[in-house]
Amino acid sequence: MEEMKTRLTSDLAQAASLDELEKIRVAYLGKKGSITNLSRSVDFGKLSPEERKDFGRRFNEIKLWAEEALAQASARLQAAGASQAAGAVDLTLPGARRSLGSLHPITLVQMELEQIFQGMSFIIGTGFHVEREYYNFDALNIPGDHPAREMQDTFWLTNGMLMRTHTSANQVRMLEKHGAPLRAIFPGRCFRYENVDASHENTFYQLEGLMVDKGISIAHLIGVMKALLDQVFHQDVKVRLRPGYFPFVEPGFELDCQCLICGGDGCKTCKHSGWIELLPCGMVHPRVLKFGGVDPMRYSGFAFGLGLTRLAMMKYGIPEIRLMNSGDVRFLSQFPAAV
Amino acid sequence: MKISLEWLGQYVDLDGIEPQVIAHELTMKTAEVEELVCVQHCLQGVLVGQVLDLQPIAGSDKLTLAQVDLGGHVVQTVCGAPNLRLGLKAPFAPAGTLLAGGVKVARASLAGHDSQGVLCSAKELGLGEFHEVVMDLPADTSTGAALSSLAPERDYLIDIDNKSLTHRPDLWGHYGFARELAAIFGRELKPLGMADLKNFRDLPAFPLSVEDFELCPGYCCLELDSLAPAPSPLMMQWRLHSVGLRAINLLVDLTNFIMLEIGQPMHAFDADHLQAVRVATLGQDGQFTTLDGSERKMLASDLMIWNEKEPVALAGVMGGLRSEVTPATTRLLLESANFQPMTIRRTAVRLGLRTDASQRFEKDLPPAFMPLGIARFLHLVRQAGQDPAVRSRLTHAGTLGQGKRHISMPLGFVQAYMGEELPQERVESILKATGFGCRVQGQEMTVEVPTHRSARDISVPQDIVEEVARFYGYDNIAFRLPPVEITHYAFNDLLRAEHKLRRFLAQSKGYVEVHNYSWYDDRWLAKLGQDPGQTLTLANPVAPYKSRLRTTLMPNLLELIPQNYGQRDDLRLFEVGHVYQPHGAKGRKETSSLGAVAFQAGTAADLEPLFLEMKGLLEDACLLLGCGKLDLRPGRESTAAWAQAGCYLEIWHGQTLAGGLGYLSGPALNAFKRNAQVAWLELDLNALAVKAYPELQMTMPPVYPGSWLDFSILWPAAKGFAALERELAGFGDALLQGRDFVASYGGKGLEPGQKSYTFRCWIGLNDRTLTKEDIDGFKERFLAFLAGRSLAIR
Ligand SMILES: [Zn+2]
Repeated sequence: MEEMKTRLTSDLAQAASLDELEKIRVAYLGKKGSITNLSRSVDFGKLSPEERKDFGRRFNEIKLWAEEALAQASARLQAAGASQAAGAVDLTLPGARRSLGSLHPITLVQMELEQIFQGMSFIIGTGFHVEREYYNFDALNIPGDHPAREMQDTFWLTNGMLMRTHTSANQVRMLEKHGAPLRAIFPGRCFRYENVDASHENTFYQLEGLMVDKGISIAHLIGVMKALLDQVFHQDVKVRLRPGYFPFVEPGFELDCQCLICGGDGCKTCKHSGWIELLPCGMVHPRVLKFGGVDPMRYSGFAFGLGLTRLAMMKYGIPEIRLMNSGDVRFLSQFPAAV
Repeated sequence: MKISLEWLGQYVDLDGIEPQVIAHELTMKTAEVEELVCVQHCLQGVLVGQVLDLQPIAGSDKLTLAQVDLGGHVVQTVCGAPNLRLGLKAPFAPAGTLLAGGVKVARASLAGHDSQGVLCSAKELGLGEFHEVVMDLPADTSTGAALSSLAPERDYLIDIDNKSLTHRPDLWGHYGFARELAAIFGRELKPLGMADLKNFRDLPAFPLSVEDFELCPGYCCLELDSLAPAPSPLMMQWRLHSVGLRAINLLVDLTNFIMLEIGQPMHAFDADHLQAVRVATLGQDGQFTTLDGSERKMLASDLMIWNEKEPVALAGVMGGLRSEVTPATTRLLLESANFQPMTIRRTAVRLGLRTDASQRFEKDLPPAFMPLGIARFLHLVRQAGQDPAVRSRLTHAGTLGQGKRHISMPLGFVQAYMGEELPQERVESILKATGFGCRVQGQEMTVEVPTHRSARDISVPQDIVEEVARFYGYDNIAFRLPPVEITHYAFNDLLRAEHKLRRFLAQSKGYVEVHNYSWYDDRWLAKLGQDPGQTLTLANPVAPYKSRLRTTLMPNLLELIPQNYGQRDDLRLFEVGHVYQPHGAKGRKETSSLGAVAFQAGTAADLEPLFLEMKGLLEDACLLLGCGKLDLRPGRESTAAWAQAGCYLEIWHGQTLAGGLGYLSGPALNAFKRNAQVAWLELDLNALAVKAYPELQMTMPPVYPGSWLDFSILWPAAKGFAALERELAGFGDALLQGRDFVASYGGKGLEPGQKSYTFRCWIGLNDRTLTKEDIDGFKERFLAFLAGRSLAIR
């Protein structure tokens, strides 16, 4: 047995890898290993109880010793292996290409605004792109002879329907579906008959908002708009209202926010006025409420329309609107899906 | 529209208020000011001259030698203006004078004659854009006077965004703005001088009839002797020029001036050729020559002014050539009317004739402006030094707009709607400042609307709120968030599914989201070999080949592949968007769709992995959407160029066809260059009936450790994987807990046409740990099953 100890000690000393160590373990302690075989080579029937006891003790001793020696050798080899690996990897190489794609900049802005409004418990509607003349115009207090119909150059379909010119087309649909009280936004694609150039697109995105409840006032409209803009721009934004004309609101407003670049002192971006025209809004016209089946004597509300395309351009410094629908991967892949 | 502050100053004293403040206050309370421009007139050194003598210059048919009296001394000038005449009074700029555009007048020799200065057009004085003629000053202007003593050296022009005046016909003249500014700054609005039309009530009426009061709610006219040919008063000319109109003669200038003053367009007919006025539509399509000499195509529905049986003017748009006032005219008929906005707009838009008059009639002018126009005309004509005899009384048909309209609302409505506690007296004082009346009875407030406000503009209590709130100042309203009642929240499942897919594709699959147009490009469809089939069609597309609305996202997505060739030989693109199907004759079915394309340049061996990547994407998407396992069936013959039989699968959700998945082959590939390989997926999200939160149910993992065994089975590739699956499904065993497909291999070491498919069998028992015997037993049974089916192991 002592001879076996010597042999194992020298084998272990020569082992250069964990694989070789495993072979040594099998050769000594495996099912047919030389230490395991020790017990088989003895005819226990011929031994006295004392001799059996003695052999058993020595057998266990050498087995434990061998296991311990193997464990020590293994630890030694592992330590050596670890020190070897320092430098085996160039830690300064760039990370392997992740499978991260990109979301359209308008999607990014839309998702952010949806989160903000969900936080104020506004539900989200969708609506149709191909809309009935009624919802796009008549139900918004824009009758056939109204000059406002001309301001919006409309894509008409041969079947008499149209491509909605604004997300406001969904106002009366939402009122019909949900009634009052209602807090809802409805983002989506809109269309105007225009030639496409650096600053004009015939296909763009808006986000319309509508809040109808008892006692809603202009003061509430300003409050909600300011809360929205504070969150969009992550700072305390100063806003102001001025008169604006839209047939489906009364009174109607243009909402400006104080220029975030110059802080109101005047710069190129704000055309030296200190203010940026941001969104049209107003108190829902009683006739629109009526079209939506809501009693204007009991309820009032406000509505606003945010240009998602324009907001995305502002937020990400996109100078040309036509990039949005260009499908140019060099442009689009600059917006990691960080939402 | 341009507003001159100098002109406004005639109606309201704006002294001491900075022009910038005026512009700002208008923007904040009335209408958007686009621009405020300070205009400097070049009057220094300019004198009033009178032409004493005119001599033609030999060898020039344009230039004339003029002797000009400057009040004591006479100078000579060479002038080419067509309106030179003996006795003409006009501004003269001697050599050394600085004129508009920085031009310094020099003494020069022109056509061999000494020229000591120039007679000036309006533009040369820095006034407007007209330079064809020299200014024609009234005869009573004193010769030799410095022009700077007769006209202002400086003016401010405010350019108002016309769009913000759409609903305010009362603001289409200077007086309307004066009224606003008087209210804003608390200054007095000076009343306009008017002739008293009652003085003529004993005169005969002019024969007048209106056939349709819908189209012409009111019509006023007055017959009078024609005016002596004369220039208008200097300041009337000055003000017209300053806002971009051209002074012509007293009659024309007066009608234009009144239009720009109160907003009421006026028209003067040659009454010598007018026996009776009738307002009626044309009745049948025809031609009409307007006073600009153009022959215009008219429709039966166009509203005309008739002289008995002959149309003489295009109502509200432009007069006719034959009724135009000429120097021979002895009698005038002055028209001041009110027309239905829509009919005027239709005609004006169709003819491309958006005149200053039609622009105003389109805005629903208050009928009360009609008599004002005529009374103001008579007043101003007398001020100009003429007193033509009036030959008829004020004749009118329809309304004169004198009826007062009243709007009632609960007391406190204005305050509640504003959300601001302002005292009732404040509400009343604001309303009174702009001409509204106000009466409170019990718990009701009744507001009387002044006749200068259009019925379309002011009709409901909310319109009164606007009047009060804007003069109170929106900035003064203390804003706050509304108190709300918390209710359960209605999630938009479809929108959430869309966003989930967007995030999945972009965040874990490396796809780029794109936005494509909602219509096809027919030229690309032709390249693809795609028949668009039944589509909704735009009546006015941006181009004739962009009229069809997309019924699938695929063509426009595919089009982006060649468009991005230059940048990438490997693309992953997707779009989540609407597609549109016709539905009946007048309807549409609009649904939300996911489209994805994977493109790479590759060889035959790369195509299957590309397709399988797309298929894996669909399988993962189904897990995310919780729509259950979709049924994929071999695609049949289809009309889609990208979906050839044998190259795509139909995606079924229950009994609904919910999309397709495949790769491009055949003629469609010709639209792409090189060795393009394209896999595609389209999924109808409305057909999936997804839930915001899919229901999940766990199964307990085994308590006792199991084991696994890998088997590689040889199978003819042509038979397909699904057939092998069906074979293997016939094997059942108590130990078998599951079987996964790991990989397939074909090529080296295998016979041609043969593939090896590796499966992993998971085995285990619920009541104890497996023994070696258990494992060996399973292996034997499975191999025996394979042998029985003649399936070889690799
Ligand atoms: Zn700025």
